[in-house]
Amino acid sequence: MDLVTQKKWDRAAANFDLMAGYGPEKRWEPAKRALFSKMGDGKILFLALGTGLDIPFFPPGRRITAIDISSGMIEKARPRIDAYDGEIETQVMDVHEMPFDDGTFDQVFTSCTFCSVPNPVAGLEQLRRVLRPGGELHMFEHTGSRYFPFRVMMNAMTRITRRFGPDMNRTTVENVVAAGFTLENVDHVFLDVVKTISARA
Amino acid sequence: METRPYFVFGDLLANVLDGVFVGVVTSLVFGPGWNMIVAMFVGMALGMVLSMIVALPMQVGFGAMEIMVPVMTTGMVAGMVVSMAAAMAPADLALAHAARLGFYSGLGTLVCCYAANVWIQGRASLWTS
Repeated sequence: MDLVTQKKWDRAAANFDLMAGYGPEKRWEPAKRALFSKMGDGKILFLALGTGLDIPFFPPGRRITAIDISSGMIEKARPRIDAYDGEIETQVMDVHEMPFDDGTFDQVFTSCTFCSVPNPVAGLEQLRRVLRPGGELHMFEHTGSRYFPFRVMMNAMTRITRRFGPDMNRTTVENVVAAGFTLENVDHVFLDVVKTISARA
Repeated sequence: METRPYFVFGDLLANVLDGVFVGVVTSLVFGPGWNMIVAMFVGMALGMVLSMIVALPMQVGFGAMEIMVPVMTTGMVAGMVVSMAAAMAPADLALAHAARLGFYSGLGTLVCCYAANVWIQGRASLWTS
């Protein structure tokens, strides 16, 4: 378990909903609902549940295994988990060290996760391992930009933001490909910074 | 492109407020004694740092990256414009003039970000092939 990352997100849990609970979620709601509507009837892994802000956008009746590195975050998510019309089983877990067998899941979903995973390609390789061959990866992520001046700015901002939260300049689409996934679709929600990514194992 | 009135209003408010704030503070830092090029680069950096103060509370109500990225860009532009104007002026800039420059920097930057958003989304399909 990466204790440094765990401690960082345990600390962030207290005020996470204050910063991210209203404006960002309202703004991203249409894109997130569209992405999570792809949740099927098979076994679903949701990576980095956080305080459960995404749960209201899940379609009802699904059986989801949700993991997060922070027990503080999962504790905060409890009321939203209880309110969900379906089953969410939570576990405190590091994506780099998931104990699931190979090919356990049919689908994996992430939401603003790979801005914070310390070794993103290794984390994505683990996701590919626990997905059945041909299984689906669906991500809602923010990344760096390839355009000036956004690229320069986000590189500079990352030096500050990574101390208490996420990186702002990740190359997540490239990382998905580097981890061995077959990229199927990328939809840009805001600039080339906020996006949904779909890929197959 | 964002069309929901609440978020368009939020974008406008955040960028204009940030432009005015950065413009006023920058005008207090720079003056006729500064080399224009040095003032420009220091002003851009200062504008970005100051913008974080505006971006954080605005994010709570109006969105994360959709606020942070344009607001930081506004800070950079307003910092550049006002610091150069202050360095070139024969006397210290009037605060009202600096605020006005910041206001227009915020407005212009937001329009450019909206245009960039439309342009980038039009190109998105090319990147997945």
